[in-house]
Amino acid sequence: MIDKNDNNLPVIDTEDCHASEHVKMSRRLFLGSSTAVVGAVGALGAGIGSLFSSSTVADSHKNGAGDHNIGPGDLDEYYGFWSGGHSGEVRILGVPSMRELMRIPVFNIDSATGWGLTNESKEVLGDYPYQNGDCHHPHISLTDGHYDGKYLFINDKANTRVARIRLDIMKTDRITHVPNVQAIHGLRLQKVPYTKYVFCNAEFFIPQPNDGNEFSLEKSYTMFNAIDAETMEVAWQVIVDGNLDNTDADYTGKYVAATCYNSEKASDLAGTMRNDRDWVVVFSIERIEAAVKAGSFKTIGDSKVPVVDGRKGSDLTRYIPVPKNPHGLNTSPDGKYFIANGKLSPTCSIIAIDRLDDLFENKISERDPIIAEPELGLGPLHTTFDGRGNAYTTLFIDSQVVKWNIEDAIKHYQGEEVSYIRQKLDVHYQPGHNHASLTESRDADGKWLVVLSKFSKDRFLPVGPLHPENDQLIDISGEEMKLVHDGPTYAEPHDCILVRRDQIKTKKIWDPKDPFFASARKQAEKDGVDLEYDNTVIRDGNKVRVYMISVAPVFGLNEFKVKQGDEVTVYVSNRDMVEDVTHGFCMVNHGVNMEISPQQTSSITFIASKPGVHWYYCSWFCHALHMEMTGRMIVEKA
Amino acid sequence: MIIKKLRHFKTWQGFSFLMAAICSFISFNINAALQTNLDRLEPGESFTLPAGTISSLVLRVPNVAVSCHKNTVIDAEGHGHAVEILAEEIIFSDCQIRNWGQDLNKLDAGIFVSRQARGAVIKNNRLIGPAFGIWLDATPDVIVRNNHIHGEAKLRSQDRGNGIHLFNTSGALIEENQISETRDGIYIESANNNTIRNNLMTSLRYGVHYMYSMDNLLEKNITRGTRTGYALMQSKRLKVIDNRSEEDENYGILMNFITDSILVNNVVEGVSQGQTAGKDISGAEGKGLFVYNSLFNTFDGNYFIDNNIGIHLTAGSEDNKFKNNAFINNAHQVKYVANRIQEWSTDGVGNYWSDYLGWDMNDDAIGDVAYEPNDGIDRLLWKYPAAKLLINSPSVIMLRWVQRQFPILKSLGVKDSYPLMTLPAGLMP
Repeated sequence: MIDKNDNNLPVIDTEDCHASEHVKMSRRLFLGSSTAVVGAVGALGAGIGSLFSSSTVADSHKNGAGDHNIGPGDLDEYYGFWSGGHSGEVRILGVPSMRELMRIPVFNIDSATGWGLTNESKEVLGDYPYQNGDCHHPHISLTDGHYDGKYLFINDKANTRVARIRLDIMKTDRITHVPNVQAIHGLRLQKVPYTKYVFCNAEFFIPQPNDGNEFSLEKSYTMFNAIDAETMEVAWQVIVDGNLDNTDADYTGKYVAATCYNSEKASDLAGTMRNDRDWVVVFSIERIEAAVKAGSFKTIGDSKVPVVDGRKGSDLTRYIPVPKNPHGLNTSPDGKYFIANGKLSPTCSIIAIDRLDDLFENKISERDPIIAEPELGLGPLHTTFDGRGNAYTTLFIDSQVVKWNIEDAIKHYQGEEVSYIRQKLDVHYQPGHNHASLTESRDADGKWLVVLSKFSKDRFLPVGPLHPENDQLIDISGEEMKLVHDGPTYAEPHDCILVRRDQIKTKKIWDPKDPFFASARKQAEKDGVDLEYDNTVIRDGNKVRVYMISVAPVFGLNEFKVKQGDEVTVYVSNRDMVEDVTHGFCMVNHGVNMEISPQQTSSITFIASKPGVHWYYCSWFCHALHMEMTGRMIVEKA
Repeated sequence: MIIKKLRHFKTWQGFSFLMAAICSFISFNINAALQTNLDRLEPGESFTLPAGTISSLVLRVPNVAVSCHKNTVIDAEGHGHAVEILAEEIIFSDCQIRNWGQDLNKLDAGIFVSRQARGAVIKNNRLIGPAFGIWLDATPDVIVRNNHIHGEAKLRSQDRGNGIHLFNTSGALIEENQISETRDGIYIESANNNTIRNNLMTSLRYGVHYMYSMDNLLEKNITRGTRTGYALMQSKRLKVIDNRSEEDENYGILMNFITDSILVNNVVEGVSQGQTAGKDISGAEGKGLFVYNSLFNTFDGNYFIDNNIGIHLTAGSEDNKFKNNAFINNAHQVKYVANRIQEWSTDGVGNYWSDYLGWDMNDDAIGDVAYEPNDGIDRLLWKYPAAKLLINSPSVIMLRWVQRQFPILKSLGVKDSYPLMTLPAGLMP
């Protein structure tokens, strides 16, 4: 800035015809007296702070409600369950602090807990050889439209599976491979009367059977699938036209809807974009169940799962045309609407669920259930709800969340001059899913909104070419949305679900009779071993079963002997009763490690291929003498 | 070309007024005869459709020229395509087309140009109807010139079709068309190496709606009164030159994931806040240019005037070259949301900023101090123009000084080290 008291300033003649207009003006301003208004400067200065805030990154943290700051030792109000994308895991965050509380390995191999290494986890993972998974959509079981806190279900797009996590122990307890289809993507649960079915969409169409005799697109189809939530058996499958993207269920138990972005059935990108409208396919659960019961189904290949035909013209389904490549499908918590998000169209299509009976009875035509199609902005992907009649939709291209009012959008569609958009808020960057607290239940409480942004770009310290995602927390408790937190996350949460902390009841320590390790108990029984007390080695041919308890800071056996080439199974039962005193069992140079939490039994099998001495040690910190918690495996030469 | 003379049609033309009056009674027969005549054309022939109202037609013979008498109206009676072109190298011109179908599921169009119709020329037609005006269905090398396309304003915007829809085309030349009150003006998806030039697009959702299309030239187009002038998305190597956006809403030009492209000499004027039902939407401030996740582009000689926001740059839109642009009287000249500072001058040439308050002591046409558009004082001065009177007051100097000592008040942003003191030569609003 120029100091007007500087005596060395060049003299500028404002009347000089060579001087620029700007100079003349500036100079005139400079010379002009402003004493008359100088008193106003103080007032302007006082207000100046607020002028700097709206477009700055740093300030965005300061203008929120403030109560997202959970102090040391304070607990969050919500559990948040995050899918871990192609990391294959599920994560638990506290909301609103966004502190990561736990990771639940599901389809991945986890070195810390031994998931994928232990016999218990291998039993859950089943016979499939995959070591990866791609989790997108975590959803919590419901009873009468309220989260019941029993299970969380998650899809595996990579290997066409669905997993169930028991929320009392936060461990994956069942994984089902869905036959006859490829790539389970959209997944939602029956809400009412209770979660009897897990509904899941297979995204890609394939020939059926897919046995190498047929390759054409014309003879390829995909299916909508229902899995029994208790048995985790696939109950039935429905063949559809087009492909299947996202899905959601209603609050009566009658209908489930799914988006299709490839009604063209194209295998090339351009081809998938051609149609101006694709569709939402609606499934009548009653009619499908009746068809299955009546035996109107086939089975395919080795699979015993009943497959019914829901292609166009079927009584089991209806196809509602909606604009161009729709993506998210969300049920409003009042149970009145399915909302299909336009993606390549800047609109959302609102489907009145109470018109679906008439649609299925052919009393109205295919577009009649659409009662509004509000224009929201560029690239609407997913919609979530606050329970106060407002919807929040991510706009991928605008990079915003738009808050809008559903009833006002309906009035607008009917021709009333009503403004339905309440606010647009920038998010950073490229938002995909968004999710408000309790939004998939009747109890949507409109407090917090998480927006899962696909790019973080420059929002965090750079960590090399691979960037974290950015899951942003927005306070929606007031009229105005306020961005309060940036949360970096590793590959690659697609969606999350927020549930009130009182809706989840977890066990502090394991029940030693837990079915999670029933097989270990059964084997011990056969071997005449009491898992809770015995430390012993059972030899069964070249199979050796080593049973030991652990009590911090000692293993029940500090030495055991096997022969080179033996197949060794180590069973460790943690007898500690104290919360958080988890042990680990790691056998050096054998790729063996596992978690054994209080009152849990874990087992792991390996080949003792190398003669000599091999130490094992406790890998989860347990005690002041944790380092001393060791033992030796003696492997005698064959 | 051989002009095929059909005696009975010459006679028919003589009675065109009378025939027009009674055509509804006999249009079926006339149409059947016309369709037969069209189907019997030899390649190379020309044919003029007679005056009067006729219903939908299909052009199946390649390399013919079909045009209309000045009183011909092709009326599709509310369903399907009015004109369907199914063969190569057909010239279709000078027709009035109306009342085609409104079934978006079936892509109903005034003129549907099929995949096989390579080299079609569609010119001088006047179209009024509900669904798509002209649909190019992956057709190569089509010329669409001087057509006027008007949508069905009675329909909800989302229930109308687009004016000209380029699906997966290449080598198209779309020029001198006028499009209004359709859904979007020109929609381009998965379509490469096309030229879109001199089109006028008014009262639409989006003027140019653009998805995943490479190497296209957009030149000398005008959008006016749309809900976004040019929505350019997820594409590479575009040339966007001499276009205008006038009084659009939301965005003049939106660039989302656009790379290696040039924007030269475009004028964006008066972009206003997005609205529903006449009510401003908070957070939808009108942006002259929105640059999002867009890198390696050149912005030269563009003119942004009277917008809510001149440019909004974000999502790591770095490594772009800016020079000779003018930012005039935008309420917020630059909104830059990022954590890394960007230099906005190229080889010692910056941009013109109407709110620049520095001096040019050496009179080299370059301001003596850098212009930083996110400088809080500049925003203060925009918000309270009267404060300009205080520019030399110790209080403002103090505020600026304080601001520079304590950067908490100052966001990282854009810096133009060579701000121009006057409008770049040749740049005209």
